[in-house]
Amino acid sequence: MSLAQLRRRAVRGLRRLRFGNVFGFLLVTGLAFFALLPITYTVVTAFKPLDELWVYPPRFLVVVNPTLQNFIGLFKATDTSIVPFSRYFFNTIVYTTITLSLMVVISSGAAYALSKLKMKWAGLYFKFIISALVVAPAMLTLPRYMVVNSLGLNNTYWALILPPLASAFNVFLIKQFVDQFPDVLIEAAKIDGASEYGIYAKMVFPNIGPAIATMLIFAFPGVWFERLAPTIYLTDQSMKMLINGLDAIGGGGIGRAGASAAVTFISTVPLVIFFMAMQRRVVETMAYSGIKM
Amino acid sequence: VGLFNFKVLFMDDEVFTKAMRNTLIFAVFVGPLGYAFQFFLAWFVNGMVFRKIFTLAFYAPTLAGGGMYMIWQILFANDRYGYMNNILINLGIVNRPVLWLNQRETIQFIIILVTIFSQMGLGFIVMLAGMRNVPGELYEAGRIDGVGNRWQELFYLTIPMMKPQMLFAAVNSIISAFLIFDQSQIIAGFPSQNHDAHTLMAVVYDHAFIRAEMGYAYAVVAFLFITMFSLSRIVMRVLRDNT
Repeated sequence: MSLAQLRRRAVRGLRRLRFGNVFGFLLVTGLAFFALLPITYTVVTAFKPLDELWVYPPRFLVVVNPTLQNFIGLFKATDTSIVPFSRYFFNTIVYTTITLSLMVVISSGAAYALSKLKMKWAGLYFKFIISALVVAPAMLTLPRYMVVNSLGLNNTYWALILPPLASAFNVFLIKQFVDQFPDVLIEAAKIDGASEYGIYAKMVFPNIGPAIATMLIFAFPGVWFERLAPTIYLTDQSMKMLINGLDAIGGGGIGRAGASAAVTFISTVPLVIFFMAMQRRVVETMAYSGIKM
Repeated sequence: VGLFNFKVLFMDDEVFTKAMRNTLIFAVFVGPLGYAFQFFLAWFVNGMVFRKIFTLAFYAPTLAGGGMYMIWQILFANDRYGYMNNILINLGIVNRPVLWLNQRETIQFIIILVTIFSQMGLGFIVMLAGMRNVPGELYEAGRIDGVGNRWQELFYLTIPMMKPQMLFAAVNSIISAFLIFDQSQIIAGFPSQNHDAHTLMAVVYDHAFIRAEMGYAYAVVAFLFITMFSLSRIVMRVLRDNT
């Protein structure tokens, strides 16, 4: 954006200002700062050297001598009895990638089937899925544990990957979007001899990008920061996830606050970048996401 | 025999009744209050400059979600190193550190605050999208038909147009209001002092994975499910899209 454009925008913005607007603006700005407080704190603390962490009175948003020591320390656990942090990272990245990729395929496939295949009970299935929106993953912890246990998946990554794939929310979200895809095009493709899989893979899937992006945005933090499942299913320390390592470090109090902030910082950055890249598509998609009855 | 677990639950288990009370307190504040908060935030942000930056700012706590609970614990630490205590002492409002995390009122306040801020993202974005979806011509037509101020615009034009999104956000609010566990576990500890931040999900976790009393845990889950399901049915009645 050029400077002239920016100026024009600012002038237009100023013209719209009224007293109510100014008050609202200040209020929302204040709230935004409060919402960003933990994140700002994380960024600042991640670069604090040890002696500044212990300074009294505590300095909240000031760092005098920024250092990378907190980050370096994370990756330099030399003792063999401690699981190095890079291992947690590796675990989390692999598990998140596999889970999210499978999620995209399964959720979009189910959404396409529900929306366009004209199955016999499609309406009823969708009613079930809407009812299942109330059933949050946290409530399914117990039944899931029973299933995973009887399948003998304890202490494998499948125990973490498989359960979140059956997500009512994802199917619901994408289905609302697939509904917008014109039936005429699908009919035409069928006449031209395309198979159902071909239509799904070559026509529908490339066109529901925004919905997929939105689903990923919402699923990503939940999968990335899944806290309960690794604690329940994994007993091997070297298999655990970033969040478990974070919890372990965080229990160390102020002395470990720098390391804790460094982990939080590194683990949150990918999420924020991803969201910024996808932001417009998210708002686009969510316009279709209301529950219509 | 079949109802034995429920009988014990409601009659004899003090921890459960306490958790029940806490969960209801949390739900009352986090649910309706958080929902109204999301709605007005979306409304304000929608008509504002720098909309994208604000959207990111209000969604960021949700993005960082599970990773950020720890920081609230440091902000509200009980000793002088806790930032909140330090600020209050410097301002002369209190003269000794407040035990934020060990008193019923303060710990519950903190958990409500953290939950509202860290779980508002989804509802906020959904409602924002709903508002942006209302065609501009509608407002012009409304002005001609005598819709005077912004409040009237909100009640007669915006809300009827975004009912599906409001319903979705409401269901989501019910979920996050009743299933508080992670944040209370991290901030107040597990179990929290005097069970002041013990929630129903904490009871479930306790009985299922620590004491291995699955039946009892299932009874709590069933109770939660019935409550949430009937509540969302009521909400669906109220916000049904009549068009």
